[in-house]
Amino acid sequence: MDDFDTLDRQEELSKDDLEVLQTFHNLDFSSSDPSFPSDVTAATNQTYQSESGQSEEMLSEDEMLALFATEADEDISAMQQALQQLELDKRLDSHELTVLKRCAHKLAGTAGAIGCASMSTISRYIETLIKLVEDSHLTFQTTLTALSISIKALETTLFSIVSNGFESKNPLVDLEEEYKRLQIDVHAVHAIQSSLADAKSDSSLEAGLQQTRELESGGLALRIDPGHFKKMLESAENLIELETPVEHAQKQVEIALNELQFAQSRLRRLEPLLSSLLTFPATSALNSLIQDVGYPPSSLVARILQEASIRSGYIPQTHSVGRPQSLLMQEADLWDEMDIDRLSETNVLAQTFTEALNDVALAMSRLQQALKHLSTMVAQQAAQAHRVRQEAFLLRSFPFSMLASRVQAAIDTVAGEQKGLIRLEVSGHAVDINQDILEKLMDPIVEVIQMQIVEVLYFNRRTEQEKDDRLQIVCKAYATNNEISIEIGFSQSISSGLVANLQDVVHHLYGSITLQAKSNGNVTLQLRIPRSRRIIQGLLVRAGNQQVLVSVSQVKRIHFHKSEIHEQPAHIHNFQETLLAEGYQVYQLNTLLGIPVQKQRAENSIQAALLLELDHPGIAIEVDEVVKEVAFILKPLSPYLCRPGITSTASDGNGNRVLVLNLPQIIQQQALYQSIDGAKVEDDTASGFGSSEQSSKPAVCRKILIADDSIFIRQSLHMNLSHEGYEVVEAIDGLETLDQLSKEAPDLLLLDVEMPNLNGYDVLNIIRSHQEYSALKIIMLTSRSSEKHKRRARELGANAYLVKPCSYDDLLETISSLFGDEEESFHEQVE
Amino acid sequence: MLPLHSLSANDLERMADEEFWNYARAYANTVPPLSSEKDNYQDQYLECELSSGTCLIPLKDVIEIIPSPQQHTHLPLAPAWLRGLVSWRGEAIPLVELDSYLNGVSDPFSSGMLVIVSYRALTVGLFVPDIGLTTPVRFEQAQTFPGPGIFYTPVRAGVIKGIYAEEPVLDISALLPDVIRQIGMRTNG
Repeated sequence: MDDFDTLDRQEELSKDDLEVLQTFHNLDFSSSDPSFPSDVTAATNQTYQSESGQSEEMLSEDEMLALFATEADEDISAMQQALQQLELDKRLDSHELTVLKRCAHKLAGTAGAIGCASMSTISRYIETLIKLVEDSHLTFQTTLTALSISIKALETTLFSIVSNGFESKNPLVDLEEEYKRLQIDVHAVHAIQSSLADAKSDSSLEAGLQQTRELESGGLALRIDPGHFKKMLESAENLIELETPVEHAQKQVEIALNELQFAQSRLRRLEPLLSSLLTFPATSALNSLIQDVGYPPSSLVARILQEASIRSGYIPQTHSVGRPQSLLMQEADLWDEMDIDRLSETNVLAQTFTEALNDVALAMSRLQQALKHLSTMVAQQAAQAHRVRQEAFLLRSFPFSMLASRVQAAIDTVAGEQKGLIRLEVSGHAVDINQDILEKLMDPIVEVIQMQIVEVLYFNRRTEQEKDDRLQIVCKAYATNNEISIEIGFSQSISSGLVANLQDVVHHLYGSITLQAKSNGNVTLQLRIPRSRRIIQGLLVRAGNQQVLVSVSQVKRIHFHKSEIHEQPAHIHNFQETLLAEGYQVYQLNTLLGIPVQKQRAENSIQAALLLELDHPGIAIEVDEVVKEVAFILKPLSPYLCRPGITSTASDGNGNRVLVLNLPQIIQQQALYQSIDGAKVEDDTASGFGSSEQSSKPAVCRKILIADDSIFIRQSLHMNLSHEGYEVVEAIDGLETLDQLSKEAPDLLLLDVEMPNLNGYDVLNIIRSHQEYSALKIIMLTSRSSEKHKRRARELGANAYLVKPCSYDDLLETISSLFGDEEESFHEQVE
Repeated sequence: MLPLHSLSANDLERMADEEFWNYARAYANTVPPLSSEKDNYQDQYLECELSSGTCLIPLKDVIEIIPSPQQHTHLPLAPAWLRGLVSWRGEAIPLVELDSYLNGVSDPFSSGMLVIVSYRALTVGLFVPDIGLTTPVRFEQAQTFPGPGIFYTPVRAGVIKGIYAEEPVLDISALLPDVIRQIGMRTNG
């Protein structure tokens, strides 16, 4: 997402400012230096037409240089302030980094345009450093040091320009040496970024890679909620306390198991006696019984033996199995001689067998009780562990109210004096949302709300009756076990184009977004997002011989089709027809992923279709089987293995890794593949662009609006375009661009991307959603050169894309081509 | 002292303890010192069987050799020579069918060995039908690669370091970046 920060609004140069500049020029640039870059020299002798169009004056090369120097100085000062703030805060705050990035980006473009390659390169290095910081590749101290020396190098280089009229290369060389000393390889990072941009030009893929890097890095800093931390500590302590009862329960099970084993062994020893009773004489069986069991079977006999032992002085060990057989026999004989209790051998054996059985039953019962107790304790422990995990999630969470307050601030900024016309309702303040997720969602949600306010307030989209009504915005959040749902409602209709950026972010979070229109004209954006970025509830599905995982949050419902054995293909065809008849676009997952189709499906296999949580058109993904629902842990793929919509894997529990699919992104990429041929045709058109001879002068006086936050760029363009006979107006940010559009009705817009108060893409998006501006030609003029940005511009409706620094000849040719050729085509040029 | 291979297990068993350990110590002293072993190791190459013969892979680049897993994960938009992804030490790494990559010869259902090779931070599994012995090669002994088109397709010529005993010697430092680049660039569609 492009930077968006209202705090960074660049101040416009008034006439007073220009006078100050002139004074500055008189002081420091009294002489013209022939070594000054030719670009600047070429830019002289041009007619400068002021914004009002009333006065025309010529800016000399010195004045242009002064303008650049002043602007560069301001940018460097802003960077220094941001750096100082970082040092004070002792943490890498994203706001300060944004300021640094924006200033560096702006300065890189401006310096490149004026031909100051060293300054431009140093600024690019600063951008790279910030990128490294965002990816957590640099420590806090190294970051501060690197930024400090980089800004110092900028200062020194600017000083050389101001002092000598040309830039010194030495600060850049020294800086690169310092980077080496700090073991920062900015060149390698540049190369990697370039190759990735080339190799993986798809926007969703790039975002996926970003997602992968973020997963790897785990974010810049961990902010912990003290309340949640205390709760988590308590839960963790309770979990530890559960260890003793669980160990005790385990011991009880072991004891019960031993008892059971003993009882079983006694029973086992009785088994041969029972069989021998049937085949051998009774005496023999009884002797065997005495021999095996170890003591006479009757308790009465035991008492008698005990009395006998007192008489004889021998103390019998009634449970000793290892007693000498002769002694036992002697005791048995004694018992026989006494003739006290004549029990039959069969009765003795039966009674013994019954006792042994009872012992086994009793031991079994004790074991069952012990197991039940253990299982209860283990369940308690698991529940407590789950609680700790939940509270660990909450540790990194923010309440939804944080988003609400940000939304309120954005409303106040955009609506200004009309903020009374906006009513914000929030519910679910206390719903905890993972801070990574909230940070990802914050900007796009605020962006949507801001753009909607701009639409309603500044484009008069409301009817007379509606004008009396206040615009109502409702923000609602609620949580389930595995998901967070956020609803954003508007009392006015909303263009689906406004949510494109938010949609991308939600999809990258393995969530879904739907736009629901109600009969009373209200519309609601409904977001479903997994609660965690690492552990996601998903469906394990089979396509061919492959199993893949899909986030539950992206599936609206599953349409099952139970197929019969030996089912004919016609039935399958009917299944697809049913879905098609319901208005779904049907895709087969096999085909989408290029997985070979199995010739025979498993018997009784369940064919199913995953109906995705998308508005229009409804998407159904046919799979061979929905195996189960499972919570899985994402593991990022190496960047070169990432595919659009496939950036992570998860374990299937059998040691294999399965792909985690982001189905909306895959479907989006499917459409993109289909459009590749068209894009090539457009590129071919662009390659022939400029060959036709056209007059450099416009046939009629066309009006061009320049939207750029760099004063230098604006004035430089202003002079050249005015010289070519165009009427030129300027805007310093996104909001002013929209304002100028309605006031000036220009024929062409030169639009920068990185601007405060609505970036270039936002502006482009808004403009193209309004029919009244359909004839407006839009040229994106930006230093962003990656294919991702070009594609986005093309998709949003830009007519051409030029990369700064761009020669005036190319710019003029592009403009005249667009004015001369009404046929829609996308012009692209990268220098 | 008799060489180890000339003694049977019975011979060793019959030795008295003192005699056995004296023999073991004396035999251990015959092993070359560590530094020269390391030098030798640097020159060791693993013979890997391919449909057109064998090729040599520098042993220093080999991390592990395992039987090729039966299951692999299909990766969309991948070159034909990429069988898919396999899990190795918990990571998903690409499984490259070396024969298909070098010669365009593919047998997707064959079983064989997986030679895990690594260069810098890149790790790739090379599937080969079988592996042979390790061969010491002083690289000056290897012939300069005679040029593309004789053994391998011109596209792959850059990954052949030279020819030794009519066997191509692979340059893993060139092969792995090429593999990675080609897997990555396929996402361009």
